[in-house]
Amino acid sequence: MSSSTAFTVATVDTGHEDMIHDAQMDFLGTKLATCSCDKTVRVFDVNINHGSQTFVAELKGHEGPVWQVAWAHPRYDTLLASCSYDRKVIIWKETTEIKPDGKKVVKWDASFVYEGHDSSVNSVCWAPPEWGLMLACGSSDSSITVLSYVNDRWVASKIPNAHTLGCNAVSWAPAQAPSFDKTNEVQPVKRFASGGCDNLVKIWREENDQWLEEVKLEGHSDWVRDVAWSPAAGLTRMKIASSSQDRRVIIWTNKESDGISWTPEPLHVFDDVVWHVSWNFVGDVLAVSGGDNQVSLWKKRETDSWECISDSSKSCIQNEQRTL
Amino acid sequence: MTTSGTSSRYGSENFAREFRDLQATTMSVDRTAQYALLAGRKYLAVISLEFPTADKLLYRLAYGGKYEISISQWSKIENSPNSVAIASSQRCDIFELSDSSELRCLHRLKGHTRVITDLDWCPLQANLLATCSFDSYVNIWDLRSPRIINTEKPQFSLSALDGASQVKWNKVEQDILASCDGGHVKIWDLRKPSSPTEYIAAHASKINGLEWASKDTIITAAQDCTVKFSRLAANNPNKTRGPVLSLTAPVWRARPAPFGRGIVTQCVPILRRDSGLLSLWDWRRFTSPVYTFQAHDIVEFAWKKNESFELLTWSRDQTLRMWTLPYEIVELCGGGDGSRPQSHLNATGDDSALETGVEMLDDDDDESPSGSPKSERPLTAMSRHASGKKERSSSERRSRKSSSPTPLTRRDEVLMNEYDLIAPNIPETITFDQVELERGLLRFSWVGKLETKGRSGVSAGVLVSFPLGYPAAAPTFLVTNASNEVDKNQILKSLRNVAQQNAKKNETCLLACINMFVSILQSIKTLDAESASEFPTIGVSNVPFPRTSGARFCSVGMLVCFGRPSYLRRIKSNTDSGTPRSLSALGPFLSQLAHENEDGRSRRSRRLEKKKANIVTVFDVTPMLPFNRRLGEDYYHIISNPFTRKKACCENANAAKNGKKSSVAQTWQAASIVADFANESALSSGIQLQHVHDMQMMEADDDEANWISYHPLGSDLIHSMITHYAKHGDVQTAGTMACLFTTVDPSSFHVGLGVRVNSESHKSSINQNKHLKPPVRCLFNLSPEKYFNLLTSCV
Repeated sequence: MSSSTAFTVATVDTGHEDMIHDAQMDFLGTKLATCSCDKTVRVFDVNINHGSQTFVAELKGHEGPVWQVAWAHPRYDTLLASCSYDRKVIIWKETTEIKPDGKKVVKWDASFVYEGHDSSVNSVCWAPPEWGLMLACGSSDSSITVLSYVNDRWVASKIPNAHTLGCNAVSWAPAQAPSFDKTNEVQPVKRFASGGCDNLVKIWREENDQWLEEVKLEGHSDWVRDVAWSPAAGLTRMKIASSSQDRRVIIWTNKESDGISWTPEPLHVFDDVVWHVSWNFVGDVLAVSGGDNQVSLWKKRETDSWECISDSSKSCIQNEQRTL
Repeated sequence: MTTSGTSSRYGSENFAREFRDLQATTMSVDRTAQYALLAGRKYLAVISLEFPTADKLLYRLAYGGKYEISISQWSKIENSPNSVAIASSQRCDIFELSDSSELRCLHRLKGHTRVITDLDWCPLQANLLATCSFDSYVNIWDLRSPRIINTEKPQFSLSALDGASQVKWNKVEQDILASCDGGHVKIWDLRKPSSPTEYIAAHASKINGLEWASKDTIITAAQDCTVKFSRLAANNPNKTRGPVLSLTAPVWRARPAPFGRGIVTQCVPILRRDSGLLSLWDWRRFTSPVYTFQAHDIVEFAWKKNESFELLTWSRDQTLRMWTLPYEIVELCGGGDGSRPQSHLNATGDDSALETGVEMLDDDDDESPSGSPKSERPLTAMSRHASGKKERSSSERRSRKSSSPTPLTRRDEVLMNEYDLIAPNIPETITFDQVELERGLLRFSWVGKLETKGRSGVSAGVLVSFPLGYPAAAPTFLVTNASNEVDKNQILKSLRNVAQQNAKKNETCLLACINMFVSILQSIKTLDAESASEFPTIGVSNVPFPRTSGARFCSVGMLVCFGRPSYLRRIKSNTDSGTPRSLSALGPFLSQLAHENEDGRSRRSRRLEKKKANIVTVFDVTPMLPFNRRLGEDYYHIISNPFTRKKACCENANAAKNGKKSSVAQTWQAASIVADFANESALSSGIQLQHVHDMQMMEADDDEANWISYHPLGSDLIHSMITHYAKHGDVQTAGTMACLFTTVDPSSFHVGLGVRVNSESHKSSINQNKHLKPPVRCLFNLSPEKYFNLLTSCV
């Protein structure tokens, strides 16, 4: 579509005292949350037009390295979920207080702490906003918890033994499967994908308030490190990208849009472990990053093969980072 | 003997001096204990041990050998040249130390065909040297004989059939020597050199160390973790077996101490264990060591006698240390008659020192419990030590010897007092499980309260074994019954520290140890209750290795990237094995990180550097996306009447062109043609403008009565365009086109889709529209609702 390359809009010095494990912007692209080995989560206001950023808050409450953060949809309050090695999931809430002198004071507090896991919690992901406030958490104790906010309370629904040895990643399916025709529209189904140390990607479906294992996707030969369900934009097919310790990324496509029959398609074999896969907003570009400290962007060609449209080892992204 | 100032610090080294450049592999102390030879492949160095020049490097000779030096030993005979034998590979060099402290090479003995494993000077006959080698021969060299100079042949060559690992002369009879190979000891008599006079099958596994304890008793230290005393059958036909000392690790050396019944053992160093420590035992009481030297990685040790007994050690860290043995300890081994003149003693045991051992051993022959070293004699007298007397006569010593008492040792007394004192006051979480103070054993344990959620509490026990030298010698600890959360090594380390500190001050340590134990376990409890705050190195094998770099698409067209700082990247690139999968692989690395976090002040500069490196970069990747916000702002989405449709399409084509989306621009151009044609045909067909404009009416009227029906191809084309873009994720083009070619009531639907596609307010407005009856009527055979669903699903 275009050969133009990405350009930096903001460089945020996070001030973390240790390595960063995740960074995420919220839905509106105005807030950035980072989490680090130093047990803290930091929140920044980022103005992408001016490239300016202001430090808002440091969220302290975890007692171990924080692995991942996730912003809730802004339809709800400004909520941020974080998961940590300390077995906790914390949901942070921003409250704005207006002082008598008219100044706004932004406060961040832990609004809920979930301690139901017995080992490191590796991944958190908010469900599509259509389902209400719902958070999936994958843990090394091999279980997955789905937390839902019902009647002003957080209710946990646990899937024990979701992945033997441990669950490393969770990712929700979009609320609406793309389809053109209203007549054969299926009832929306709550689904999410998870990946774990059993080398499997599993798809879970809610049925009668229970989470059932719908499909088991076998294709990786080592731990699955990340899964990403593509957002349903337009009429693009349902896709799941999974990355693994075996240095491969597999794209699983659901041709029938039934959520059951998935076709694997290997994307590429990388030089190092692939830690992270992320779809862009419309699900046509995949960002892949891994142990080699490289980022590459992949886009599907018209001919149905995948091409690397940007590789940080060559392109400007890396150069930008080098100059930091 | 009143102890000098040095003994105020019990069990600590008097001095430690590092000789890093020497890279010495052996140490030996000469018979006068004035000099120590440190020998390595590169240098031979003579160190003075005498005050005031103690630990001074006197002389250094570049040796430059090709092979490591395996063993060195000074000659043992007084009034003979102070010579030292140094074995390196197959060769044995004899050096002489001149009065000016210089080394001079006298002989090169090249009689072996394989590496020399051990050598020993005859303690009774100067110039007699025994060497043994893997070539299975034990060679006896007489340095005076012309034979050695002319033929370079040994005086005798004893064929041991197997490669001998140790050779030792008898201290009393100059013709007797012992060698060992494998688990066997061979006794040789030089008067009958053709075959050994005796075989002793001492051990089932390899013998590492061989020593003569007396004229007919041999001490063997073996790989099977035991030290055995064996008597020669010739003298003691019925009682060949002596006491057996069992240790927890293979024993490297067991040598008689130069006093009393002392035996010093050195275990084969095993990684992560303290087995390399030197322990002093009373061979009559093998239940617990009398004393343990907190010295690590010892290569060689030797005794030196000044006012008190001192142990010299040379360790792998290239440090020479001298340890003063507390006098109480010497006494406990039945030695320590300070009035007895003993001017010198040395490493491999010398004659005068061994006299004591011989005497004692012989003396005890009748009553010695040959099989059971543990059996205790009746308590015949109060402890001499309790009386606090410091001066002793030899007669007293003899009387003690003859009555063979096992006095209530100082340890037992101290321990009982201490136990009585602290037992009522121990923390309630601690229980004493096993109290055997007379054996120096005490076991206490912690049982945590059962927690909720069915998790069992933390529990751990500690078995404390007090050496006879307690409190001057630190007890040893064993952690038992520990639950998973408990870090055994941490407990061991902390307890050992406490014990050693107290032992240095000659103070009891039980209470301090219990308190330390309690505080450690309490900390674990809180750790468990509030979840672990540190990285334990165990139990993280299934926690994935943390991501230290990543890229994530966020919002619309944002790519948030973070990565490792450059200095870490370099480290990573050195390891080609790839990134580990589990956090456990990160153990040492993480503990280092945790460490850095703790003592942050000292590493501020490093941290600053880190801070600088922890940067998140936000990229705008909209040029890579099929749509963007600017296009949304530039596009025409709403047309007030069908006549403006063509204009809107042309404008959109221009906007796309400006936005460098040429293919989209072409599509818009094609669309404008369709719109143009449709318009004309609509006009020519004479349909009322109002009819087209008023959708309610159109809905009421016949669906087919619209302009597009006059142009079936145009309808299909527009439809296929929209479908194409929708399928390929370009919802902006698809949506805008759907808007343009759909008639919209501007009053109720005035917000163009895709204008600010990332804005929540717009999203909700769209949703509202969705729930209302859409004021839109499609001119195609496809419902416009589908398009809106399509668009809302992704917004």
